[in-house]
Amino acid sequence: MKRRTFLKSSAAAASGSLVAGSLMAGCLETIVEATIDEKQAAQKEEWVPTTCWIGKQDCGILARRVGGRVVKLEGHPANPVNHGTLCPKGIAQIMAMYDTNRVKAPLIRTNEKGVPGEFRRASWEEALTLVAGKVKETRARDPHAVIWQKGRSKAKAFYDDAFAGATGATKLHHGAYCSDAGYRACEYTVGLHGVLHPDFRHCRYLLSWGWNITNAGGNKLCYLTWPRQLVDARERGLKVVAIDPRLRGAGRFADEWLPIKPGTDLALAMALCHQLVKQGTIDQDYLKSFTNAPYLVKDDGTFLRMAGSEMVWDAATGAAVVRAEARDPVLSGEFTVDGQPVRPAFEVFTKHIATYTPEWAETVCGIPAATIAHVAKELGENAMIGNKMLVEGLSLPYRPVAIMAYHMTQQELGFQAVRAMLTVMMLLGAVEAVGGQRVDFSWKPNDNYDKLDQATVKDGPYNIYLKESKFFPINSNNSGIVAKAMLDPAKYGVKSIPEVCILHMTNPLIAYPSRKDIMEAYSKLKFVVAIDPWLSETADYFADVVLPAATMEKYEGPISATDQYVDAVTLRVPPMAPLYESRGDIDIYLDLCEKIGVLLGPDGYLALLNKSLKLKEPYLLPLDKKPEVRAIFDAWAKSQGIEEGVAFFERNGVKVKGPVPASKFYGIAQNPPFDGRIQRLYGESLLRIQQEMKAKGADEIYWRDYTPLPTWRPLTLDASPADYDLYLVSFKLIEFKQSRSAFIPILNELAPDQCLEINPKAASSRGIEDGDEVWVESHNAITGETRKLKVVASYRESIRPDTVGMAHHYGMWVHPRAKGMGASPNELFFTGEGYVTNTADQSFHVKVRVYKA
Amino acid sequence: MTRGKLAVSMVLGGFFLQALSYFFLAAPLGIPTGVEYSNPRLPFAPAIFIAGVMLVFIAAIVYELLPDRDGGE
Amino acid sequence: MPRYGMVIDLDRCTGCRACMAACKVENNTPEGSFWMYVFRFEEGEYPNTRIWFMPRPCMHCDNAPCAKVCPVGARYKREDGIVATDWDRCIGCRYCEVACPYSVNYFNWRDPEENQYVNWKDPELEALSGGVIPPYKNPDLDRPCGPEKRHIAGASHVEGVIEKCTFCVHRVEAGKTTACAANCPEHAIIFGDLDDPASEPSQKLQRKSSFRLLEEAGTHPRVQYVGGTPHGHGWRQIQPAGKRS
Repeated sequence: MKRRTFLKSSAAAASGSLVAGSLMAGCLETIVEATIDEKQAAQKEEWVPTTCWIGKQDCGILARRVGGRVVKLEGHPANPVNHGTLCPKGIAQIMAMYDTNRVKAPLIRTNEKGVPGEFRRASWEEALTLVAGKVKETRARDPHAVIWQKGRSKAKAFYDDAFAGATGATKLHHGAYCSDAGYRACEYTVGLHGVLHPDFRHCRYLLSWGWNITNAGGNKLCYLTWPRQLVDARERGLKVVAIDPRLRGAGRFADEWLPIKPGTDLALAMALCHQLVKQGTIDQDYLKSFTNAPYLVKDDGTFLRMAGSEMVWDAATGAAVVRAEARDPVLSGEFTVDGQPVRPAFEVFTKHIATYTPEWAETVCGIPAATIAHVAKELGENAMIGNKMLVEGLSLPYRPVAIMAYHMTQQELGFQAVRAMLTVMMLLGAVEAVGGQRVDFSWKPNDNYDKLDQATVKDGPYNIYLKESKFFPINSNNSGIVAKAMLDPAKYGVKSIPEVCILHMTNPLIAYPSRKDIMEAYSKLKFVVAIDPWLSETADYFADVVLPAATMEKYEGPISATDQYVDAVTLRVPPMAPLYESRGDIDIYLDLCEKIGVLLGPDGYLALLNKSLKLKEPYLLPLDKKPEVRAIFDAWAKSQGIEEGVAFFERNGVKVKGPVPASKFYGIAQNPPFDGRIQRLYGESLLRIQQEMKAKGADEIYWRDYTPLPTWRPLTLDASPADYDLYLVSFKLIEFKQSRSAFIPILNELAPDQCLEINPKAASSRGIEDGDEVWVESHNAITGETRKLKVVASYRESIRPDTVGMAHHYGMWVHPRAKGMGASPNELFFTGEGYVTNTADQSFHVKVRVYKA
Repeated sequence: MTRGKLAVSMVLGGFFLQALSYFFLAAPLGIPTGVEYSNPRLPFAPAIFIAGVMLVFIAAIVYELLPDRDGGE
Repeated sequence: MPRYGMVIDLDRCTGCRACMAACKVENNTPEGSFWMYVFRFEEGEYPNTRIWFMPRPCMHCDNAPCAKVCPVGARYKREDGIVATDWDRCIGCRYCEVACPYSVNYFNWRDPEENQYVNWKDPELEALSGGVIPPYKNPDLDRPCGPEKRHIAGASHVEGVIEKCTFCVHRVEAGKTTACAANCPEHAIIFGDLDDPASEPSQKLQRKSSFRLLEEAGTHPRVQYVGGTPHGHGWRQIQPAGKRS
């Protein structure tokens, strides 16, 4: 063909198709339109109220269902916790629910453990019978041989209380990884169950102490509740000082950033105490009335007592009297009572903090002394000591300063560091005052105030988490310590190690620090059941049976939906039937208990459920037959006084009980204030516990932090050789929750890559460019063990030059989307001595060195 | 018509189409006080502009393909 | 006729990217397509570092460069201000993508049904979802919109076609607000009628001074930002979303 002809015919063809195309476009519009409009008419739209399953606080959701198919999840407008909105995880959950990579039917393992699993599909009948048989047989021999390990329990009454109670399984949980060092400190010191958060409505000056404001929940919550209150408070003028080795979490909202060296928070808190006392900005009345600061202390560190009661020095009479009789107790001075020298606990405290100057603190935590002094000054000024505010007709002390802290408590000195932080707030008279420091959502005195105070050291043998042991008398139940005890039971005085493990919504191999210890411990278990919507990495390597749980398509609860100011309760209601052959967890447990033989009868699961759900006549569950799950929630709702029963929640989603009155909200508003509970500025019983531990032959590493006052000491991790010159910390990303979301594609796309956050100066001095692959190697200062992994370095100006950070959620390998996502820092952290607190709480700090790969 | 004249007229025609589209058929220039400032005055105006550009370039091909006065290529 | 616009309060935004997820599920955008994108920026040198966030939807410009260059009139600006893409008519030439200075256009290189993150062609799932891809596909997106009755809602309809933020036209016409604004946990994104002085965006603009992106480009965006502090130099993006590198 000639060139001409070719070109002519091409041109003709091209123009022909252009014309045809434009003509067709018109036709297409008509065709498509006609078909779709017909279909639309058939679709019925419903909105099913339920709650989020991924996060921690079960945000209220309205599931949009069209033609029986769930198409979108939107926030429930009436739920106080999330007021009509959702974080990215809540939105993305719809993809997780439909995920074709979910475990579709019960799986039974066919190969050996410790390697990627090969499973065969089984019927529920077969799988449940196998599991029940193992549990039944094991607990008949030794009830302690069955452990129930949860990550997140979304129905405490059904799982932690009734199931563990009926089977006698030893409960393991996740608190020692989360923030329990803070819980223990607050329970012991002020008698409330929580860590630290502000009365946002009235607070004016906030120390965001390790609070990952833009990514994480803060005290007791998941994500969006506190940040919304913070943002509103900022518009009213709240000042925020971020204390954190990384700025990222506080990011946008920090007026000032104190880049603290990891693990040195106790030092900073004590220096602030030092300055407050030096400045004289302390609430003397508060200390005298509500804390044990005036109690007289003898030379041996114990309180002076008369007929069992603590004594104070009364300036009015010039004598030591019982607390209740004193008219003018003093905080300082040296006195003599019956020939014994005594002084108020506050005097002991003042002497104790004499050396904790800002200049000293600068050498420890890396924050300039002038900055520490000026923050103390601002705390003193903003605390408005002596002021009162009228709230709902009550005249209450107004102290608008507070700390928000949660996961940062999980460091070697965490328990005492939180005590030190509480002390700062006690000195300012801000604990449970208006605008001030809060611990729980409302005033709810906790049993552990007495239990921890009365903790004793028992003789062995100890249970698998060393409860009441000479190692950890106050004990947060750390699964890493459980692993250590399983691997060396003789060392820890443990006689029997568990055989059967039930994993409930947890993935220890990924989510728990010190993967090596966890892996070795799990190899020792004889039978492992995973109740999980996906095949977790732990199940992949160690599960004998996988029981597919539903995600949000199930009944679960009851769920508290409080934002601290408004009380509400909600339930998880299935927006569609459980997908594939998955089942709701409660369904699974009912059948399991039936097969084990612990469902019915006066000591059975149902009897315990009646108690844990606080069911009332005539709605008590009969103890002779297995109920439907929905019927149980109906009984619960009616017992709560909701006449419609569970149908109320199926229609409305949330029962808003109303605003919490100030009289129930503030501890200081109680009559008498704090119900007479004295805050323990001086921890006398901690000294007693220490002496008991010594008497039972415990090593110093276990008893050295059981001191009556927070005391700084060099950290264990700093004893690592000098070439391990960086601190590794891990942190949370808003896109993910633990290890149950990093593989959800929509979320994974938002945060696709693991990286090592490193300061550019630190990186370039090590010859590392932005984006280079590096080795991160950790070192255990006690055992000398080293661990390493490869990761990509990413420059950050917003992190200390001596610190590097890795996000928590990566490191998975089972889900197709997880492959190649990058490693988990939990491979590098250690557990056990030197890397846990004196309360067995896990530390998330370790010394590392970083070098180019 | 010689190929030269044809090619030149195609080039001129192409530029004419471009100018026509740009100045008279495309969205008007100026501070936008309404949606008419974003939408072309004639919906296919940019296509006409492109056609003009194509015409200019195809002129070269046409010139090369057509025989000159002597019948050679 | 309302004059739709958006106000984004940078003092309130926490960079959580919930708006990105909400937009994605509402509009069924395929992988890699971020009609709403939230930038996370870092600037300064340690310890004088600053972090801030910026959500960036389509600007729905009053002087829309993309609408001006569309050769087939598929990209057009409606009377209410929404700049829409008729996915029936689009020929995929990508001139709008070239013209837009904000890079808000996304081209469907692949069949959208192959590009929805997961292989949804699983018989066990199809039995439950009716074979729809993705299984949470929004049925509102197929409806023609506006008095002009054109197919401008949602994404992922056709391969070889451009798509971008539609200000959730299918929701707006049903009397709701955009998915991103409805879902923002900090109430930082506000959508509404700029001509109504009582509307939320108007109220915000009365209270706080605002700026627009790339003012010098003369595009007259309908998306305005309030709050925040002007950035210094040396700012850079951290934690980008997108494909794994």
